[in-house]
Amino acid sequence: MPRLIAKDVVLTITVGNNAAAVGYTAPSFSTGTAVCTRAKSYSRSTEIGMVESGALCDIQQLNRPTRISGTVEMDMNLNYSTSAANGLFLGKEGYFVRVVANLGYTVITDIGIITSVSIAVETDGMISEQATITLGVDGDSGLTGAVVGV
Amino acid sequence: MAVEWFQVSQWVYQTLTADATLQELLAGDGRVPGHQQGIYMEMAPQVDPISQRAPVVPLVVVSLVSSGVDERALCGNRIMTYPVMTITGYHRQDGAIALSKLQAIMNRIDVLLDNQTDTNPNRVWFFRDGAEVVVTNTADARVEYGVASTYRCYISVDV
Repeated sequence: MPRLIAKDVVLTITVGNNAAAVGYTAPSFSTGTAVCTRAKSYSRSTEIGMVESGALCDIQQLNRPTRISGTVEMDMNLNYSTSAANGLFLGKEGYFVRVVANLGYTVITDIGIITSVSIAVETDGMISEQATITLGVDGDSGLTGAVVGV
Repeated sequence: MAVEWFQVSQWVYQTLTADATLQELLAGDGRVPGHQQGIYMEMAPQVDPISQRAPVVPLVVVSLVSSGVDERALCGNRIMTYPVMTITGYHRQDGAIALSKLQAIMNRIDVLLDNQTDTNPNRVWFFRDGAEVVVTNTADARVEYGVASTYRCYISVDV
């Protein structure tokens, strides 16, 4: 029976202890934190850049792939009665982060930088936090665990 | 894992029964507070356990309308649940209905429950969604009427 539901997904994040900055300092990482108990959604998209190298006499484009880029977006519930009241990503803009999504037979590991964080509070819903992680980082000496190190 | 509305039902019952003002209002005319249980879960019994007689109005029935649809996280655990309860105050009258007899009772219940938080643990939010009139015509021409207040509860499940 095929599994079509996003159940038993294990989502683990590891945030670097310092932000990427000019005059780069290698980030240090602590143990990853499983956050799937709070995750409402996980979304990952990647694409590869292309340059067109055709000459004037060519009758078709001659595209060449260059570099992969992408983003990971996550929507998390915040349990405001615990020490995580400050949020998982709040105030961590610019920090290195490793995201591991274990879907069962597929494990996706990404390294990126937290580039966008927002928080939403509604009377008829939960307190939630949304984060966008831009994949592809420079100076990631502590990030060797990346399976897909785009 | 647990069925959280059990806890909510207990909290509602204990909150209502522990309030002396509400007990005074439920005593009715010429009776002492506590002459009957007065607050019942799901339905009023044929015989009240205190008075050993049929329950008399005014009385309050607390009932679970819906356990709601639970919300889950990616790994499958439940994170939020939304039970809905109706708390109905009943009275009886011959002829025209006068809701004023129930007004003080329902107002007091609203003071006790609306926008309240169950503090043990501090993850339950209880608030009123509305209130409507319930009227029942009995075969002997008496009119039983009530005011049903709907309360919605948000429960953050421990994860």
